Amino acid sequence: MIKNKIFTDPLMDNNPITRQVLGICSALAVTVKVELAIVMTLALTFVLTMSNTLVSIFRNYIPHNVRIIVQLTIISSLVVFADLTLKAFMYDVSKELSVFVALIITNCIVLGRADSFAMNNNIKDSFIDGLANSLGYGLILVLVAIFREFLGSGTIYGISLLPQSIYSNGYIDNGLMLLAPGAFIVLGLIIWLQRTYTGFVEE
Amino acid sequence: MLDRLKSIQFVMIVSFISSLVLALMAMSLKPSIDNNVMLDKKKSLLKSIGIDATGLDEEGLDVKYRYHIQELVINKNGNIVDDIKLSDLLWIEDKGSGATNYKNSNSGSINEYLPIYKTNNPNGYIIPVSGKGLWSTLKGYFALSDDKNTTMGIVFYEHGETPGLGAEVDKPWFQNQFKIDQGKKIFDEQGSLVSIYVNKKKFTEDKPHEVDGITGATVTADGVTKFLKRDLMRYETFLVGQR
Repeated sequence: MIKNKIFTDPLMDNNPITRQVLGICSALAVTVKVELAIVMTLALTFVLTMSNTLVSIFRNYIPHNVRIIVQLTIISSLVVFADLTLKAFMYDVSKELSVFVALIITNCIVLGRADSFAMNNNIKDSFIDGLANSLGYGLILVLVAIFREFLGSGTIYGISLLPQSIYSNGYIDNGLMLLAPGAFIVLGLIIWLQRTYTGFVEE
Repeated sequence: MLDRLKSIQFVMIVSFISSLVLALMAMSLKPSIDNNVMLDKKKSLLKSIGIDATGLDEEGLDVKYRYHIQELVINKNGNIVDDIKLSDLLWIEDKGSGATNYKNSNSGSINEYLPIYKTNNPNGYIIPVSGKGLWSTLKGYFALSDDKNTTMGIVFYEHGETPGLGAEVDKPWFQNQFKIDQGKKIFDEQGSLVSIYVNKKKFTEDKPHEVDGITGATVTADGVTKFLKRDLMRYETFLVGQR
């Protein structure tokens, strides 16, 4: 039961983006296209799961007074690792993601989970927690990206969904959706919906 | 005291291991990253003259590249040099100004020989440009039509400017201003090289030597203005000589 909660909590009730409002910067930046959102999610999943696992493995050896330094060294190594891999195998995507993969280092979700969860829990739970938080992050990212790409470009995952006849009758893609304010609006609506559903109120 | 020493020891071990892993990784991936960068440059060259090469595989790209683009080297007098290939030139970045200096790997002084790309259908020339923006060195290609005066396009294949601000130079709305139908020209009526001014303040339509700048990106815009002029000046003899 408790094990299940570690996995399901970050997906919904304790979602890192909509509930804790962490990692917003990248969530706004890379949600123009679904493809970018998915690649970003994969990169974050790799970094967060691995950092949680590694920190948890060494949690009894890491000296308390330098724990943040050690955690950040582990996280940034993993981020460089992910960045290099993308550059070697998905160059075009990595160009579009530009600085945002490198900025995973500063994503509060990663350091937050490492310090608050992985330092105090066993390896298996930390692994599950990292995976679940990444998926919770990715779920919102992809959701926002679906709305933005559909309303902003008329496509989803690069596949055109609107027939040409709509455009010839005067329909225009909503350019606002491609800009950061579009992401704010979509994300705000999702948070509102979720909080109406769960009844959560910020104190 | 013993605790502190232990902490330092631990951090040193962690740093050593992670740098070892990353160094190994960077070395083993370098060939394929370099190859990707080279392919991307070819795509950018094609894009600067309005040829779309996205999604092409390596071979398809190569065929397209060889059909449209001929790599040439010119000397200081603006004449095409036959016995030196573009691949013989070393591209050396000046860290201060972001300018690229070219040196023949065998002989000659710096910038004695310059690279240029002659294009076929649409006919024209592509000049590599580079320089400092706000945070980073921007590197790109500037295409001129075969009258050596009307701009045909601009692309940036490398930069690290702020997304949404300086990085807008990478966006179609900015780059479309350099397309041939916009009729922007780098020489004024007296025939002197004025280059293109990225104007951040005023409405610039119908002005042949200006394009609209980017709100919130003054330093990037000024940088582009500056290095476009500087890099085009190097090619002045070539551009004037055979007009």
